[in-house]
Amino acid sequence: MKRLVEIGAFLVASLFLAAVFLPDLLAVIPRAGSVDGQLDANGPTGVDEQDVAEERCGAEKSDVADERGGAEESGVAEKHSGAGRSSRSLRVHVLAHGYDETRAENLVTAIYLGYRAFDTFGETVVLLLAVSGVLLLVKDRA
Amino acid sequence: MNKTDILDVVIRKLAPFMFLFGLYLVSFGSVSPGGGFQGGVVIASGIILLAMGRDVGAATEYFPLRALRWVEAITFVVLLSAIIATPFVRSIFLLNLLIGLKVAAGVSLISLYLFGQSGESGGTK
Repeated sequence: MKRLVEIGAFLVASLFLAAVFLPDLLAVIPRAGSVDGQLDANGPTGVDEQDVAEERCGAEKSDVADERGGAEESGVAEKHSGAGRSSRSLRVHVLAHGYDETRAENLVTAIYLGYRAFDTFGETVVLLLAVSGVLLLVKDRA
Repeated sequence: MNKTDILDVVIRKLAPFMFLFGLYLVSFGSVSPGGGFQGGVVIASGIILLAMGRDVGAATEYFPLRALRWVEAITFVVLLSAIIATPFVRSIFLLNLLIGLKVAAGVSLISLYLFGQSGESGGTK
């Protein structure tokens, strides 16, 4: 009976969390995908960021080509540029709007406490479970 | 295993600086590299340094296990409510501080319990 109450409380809590966070997640993902056009229309700063990102992509591509050598690396470079294109918009978005959306000067912190705060909370749950496991196994000292 | 006075003195002098550096990492986590996890682990490593270099009892004198357990549990609840309130109240510093406290308490709890289990002296009271 007690176990049932615990499981029910867990389910209710997770449903509540999902209800709170799912709209946020669904709102963020398309916005990050469609940010390229916005930045082009936005002004000089957005274009600057994009240029920086493009330069970085080009450097990576040439590095890859130098390393591999031969005829088939054009395909590799194409694949790399494709991957960079899909992840570039997110990068540009975080560079341009990270501080305004999360109020964290450090962009790493902006990601792991702003965009992925729930994920960080899950990591602390892992730590709590580890501590309770140790307390369970070393119980005679407690 | 006998521990010399040199080790004792060095650890007495070194541990506060590790706590200070950990607090610095936690509180400046939103500006500079660092953050809750890293700062918390540095604080916990100071506690572990006390426990390994001197005695487990020396560490639990300053950080009692009961207090660490309470910090771990209460910080979990406060962090949960703070993260739920993130769309309304957004304070990176508060989140960093809570995560730092929680990680410091958790990692040092695990280590102190395991040291107390394996050690010959029943230092964990």
